[in-house]
Amino acid sequence: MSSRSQTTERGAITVLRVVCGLLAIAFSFPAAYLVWRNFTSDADPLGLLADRRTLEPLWRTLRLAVTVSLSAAILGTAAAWLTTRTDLTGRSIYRVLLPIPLVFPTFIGAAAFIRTMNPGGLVFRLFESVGIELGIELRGFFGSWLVLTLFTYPYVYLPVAARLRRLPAALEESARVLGDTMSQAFRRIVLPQIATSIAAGTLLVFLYTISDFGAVQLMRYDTLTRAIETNYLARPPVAFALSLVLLVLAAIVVVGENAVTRRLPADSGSRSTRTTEHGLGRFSFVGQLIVGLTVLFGVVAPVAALIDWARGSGRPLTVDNATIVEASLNTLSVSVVTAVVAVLAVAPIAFLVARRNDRFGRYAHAAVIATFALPGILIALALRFWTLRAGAIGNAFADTHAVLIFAYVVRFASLAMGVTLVAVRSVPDRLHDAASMLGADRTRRLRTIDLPLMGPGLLAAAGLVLLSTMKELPISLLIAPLGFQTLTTRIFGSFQEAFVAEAGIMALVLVAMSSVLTWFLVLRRADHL
Amino acid sequence: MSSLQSSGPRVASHLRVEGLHHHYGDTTVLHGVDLSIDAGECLTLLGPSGCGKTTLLRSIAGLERPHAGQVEIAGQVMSSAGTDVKAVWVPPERRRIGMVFQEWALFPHMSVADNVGYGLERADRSGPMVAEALDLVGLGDLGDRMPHTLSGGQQQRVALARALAPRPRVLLLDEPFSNLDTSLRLEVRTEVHRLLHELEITSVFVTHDQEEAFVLGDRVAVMNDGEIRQVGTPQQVYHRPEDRWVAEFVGSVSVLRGEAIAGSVNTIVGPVSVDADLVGEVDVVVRPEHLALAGVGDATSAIAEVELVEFYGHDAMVFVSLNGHRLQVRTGPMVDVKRGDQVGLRFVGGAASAFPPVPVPAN
Repeated sequence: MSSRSQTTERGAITVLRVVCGLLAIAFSFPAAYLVWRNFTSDADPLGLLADRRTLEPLWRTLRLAVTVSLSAAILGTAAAWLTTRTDLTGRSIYRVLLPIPLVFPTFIGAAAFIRTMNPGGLVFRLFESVGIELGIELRGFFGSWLVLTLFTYPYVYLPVAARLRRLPAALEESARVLGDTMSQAFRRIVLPQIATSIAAGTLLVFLYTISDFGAVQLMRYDTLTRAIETNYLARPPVAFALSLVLLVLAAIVVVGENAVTRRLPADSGSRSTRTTEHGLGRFSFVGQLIVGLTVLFGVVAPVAALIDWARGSGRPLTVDNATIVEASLNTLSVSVVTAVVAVLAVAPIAFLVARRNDRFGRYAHAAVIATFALPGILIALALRFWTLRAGAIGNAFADTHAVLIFAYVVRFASLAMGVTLVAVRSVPDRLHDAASMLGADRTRRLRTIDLPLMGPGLLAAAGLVLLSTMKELPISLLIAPLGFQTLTTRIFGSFQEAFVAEAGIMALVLVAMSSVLTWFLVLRRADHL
Repeated sequence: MSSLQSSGPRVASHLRVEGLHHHYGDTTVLHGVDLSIDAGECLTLLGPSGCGKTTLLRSIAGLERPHAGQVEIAGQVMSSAGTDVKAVWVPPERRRIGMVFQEWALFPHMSVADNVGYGLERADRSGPMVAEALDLVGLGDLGDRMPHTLSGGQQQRVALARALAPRPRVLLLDEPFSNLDTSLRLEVRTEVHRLLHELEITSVFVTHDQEEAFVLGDRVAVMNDGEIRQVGTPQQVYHRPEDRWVAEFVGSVSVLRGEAIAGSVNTIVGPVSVDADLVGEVDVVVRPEHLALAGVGDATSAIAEVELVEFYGHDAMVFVSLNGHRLQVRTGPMVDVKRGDQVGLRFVGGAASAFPPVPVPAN
């Protein structure tokens, strides 16, 4: 609206536009490279799209994603309703426990489950002690489905619980007074109100599942991501064809997610002060069973398994502290740098979009947001091949921290985008106007108004990137510089080797760091989700 | 009397606006606005929402950049734009104008004292000038508080103190009371009224509330559709509206149609003298206090039926129906008619305003 200082700021805006243009190119690069490779390779990668080697992993991916999404949607919604709208005993404790699976990288969850059932594992020993030799191996479709459901349902639980808490009790009460039974009121009033939240959360679960690499790798279930990893060295054209399929699939999901999110009701900001608590009566046993088993398998069991693993559980205890410290420091340093770079990258874009509604800003914003659909393994694949193929430039970047951090930033900057936009928008124009009227020039306004007010938001944005980078696996695995081991690559590697106790300790370290950050960033703000 | 006035220069300045044009895209919001405000005068800008009054205020402040026209403070050109003039643009931070915003726009991360000191020179920000400004609005002991811990009325006063502290040449107020509840609004209004008079500061006060405009303004500028329709003292605007829109916008009116002959119009309530040189059919605009109820038997009055009585305490409004016309009559607090009563109706004003008739709407 304001046409103020158009001339004085024109120069600065031009610089920002150029920066945003370059950022848009950088963020689009990995996906563009994958597409381009598919069309320029001479091994007929397009023909591979209809090949058995492509279609079978696609089928497995879809099968897994659909089943995980369904079960996570049901579990997340049920848990949300039981803990916000009923008199379920212990609901306030459950409310704290239920989001916890979010802090487990799925491959660590998978490792914990597999390990605990294997000879020497916690559950195996339990059964052994009563004289049963446990013969089940938790692998393949069922294992992947179980682990992914248990560690992704919070994506549904959190938004649905938040929505339910805000839903005025008067709506349901009106329905009851107008003659609905409790279940009719749920179906006719509550469900339509939370449907978009369920759909949005479920699509996130779907996207997470098709992008997941760690869990399916450990469970040996050949989805697209695992097939890409197994093929990328030996049969690059197959890997590229698979990556194109995965890219299209992810893009469809994200487009759907956007369409659903747009239909989310505008948040009135008013949290309903009065909540209805339905008496569960004789069904309270069922409620306890659902929520209790979820907490048991999603929180208690993996933590117990990790602790047991860390204690060495029967194996000779050869804990090398130096390895643990080194991996932790590597993870921390690379994640902090990534978080800072990511926020610095999205800040100019957020500024152009929020303050100027500038076209260049919107293009760059779209480019960053689109990377949300880009599974980490695709970014890793693209950059790995680019550094191999791009001659001198590629050689200069191959196996450097720069490429690793660039890959992380492309992967996770979209998480920072939304929060940064909110932070920039949180400074109302009228405060700038007021400061101008009191004689403050642009520099002073930035220093005294913008930065102090945006600070907490920018910190939260950096925190989200930090959290995700710490837990990242496929990028770290494929393109970390030689000898640069992070917690995730160490844990993953040692799992495949011999379950050394260090890995258990490192998993606990990672989960602990991730819990603390999650508490600060997600749970403390769960009401604002 | 405040110490602010004695301890430093507070020079009231003349403010002039000439031919101001502004548009957002295809929507023109200011159509060549001219205004001249004397040093020390308070002008209220009255108009319905969307009439352009806030844009006009922001153009004076330098928060909007007009597409044509000129803004001048104390003879210095602040902004000038147009096809055949040299473009001048003084950014808002260098205009020395104080402004109180509708939502007050207090900086949420700064204490009250830091807010008030924001516009001062660095050396003065923690000095006596902050305390003086806070004393001026009666908040001397709240300097250490954070804005969100204050009541609405207190926040409003902080906003005023902040705007006044740097001794602006002109003070602009954009509906500063609209976020206050009614009783508080009246109290704060009187305080601000007193303060503006004591400080003798040139001020422009934007409001859509007619009473507020009349109480605070030395003069009132009535705005509609991006144009100033009338500028005058509150009495002039109320009693001698220059057009029918102004007449209907400021205060309640009943419109009576009749034939104008030699300065008098024969209406359904009898002859009404008018001050316009119109002949033929005209619409006479009559204020409720210019009509009076009378006994039914009174030979000089028309007979009407009471439809509604609204009792306000200090007076009352009686809505009557006369030959299908609805009229409003203001009566004293001792009103003793009720719905359905037959009453006599008389015109008791001096001269009323008359305008060429507009077609009666189809309903």
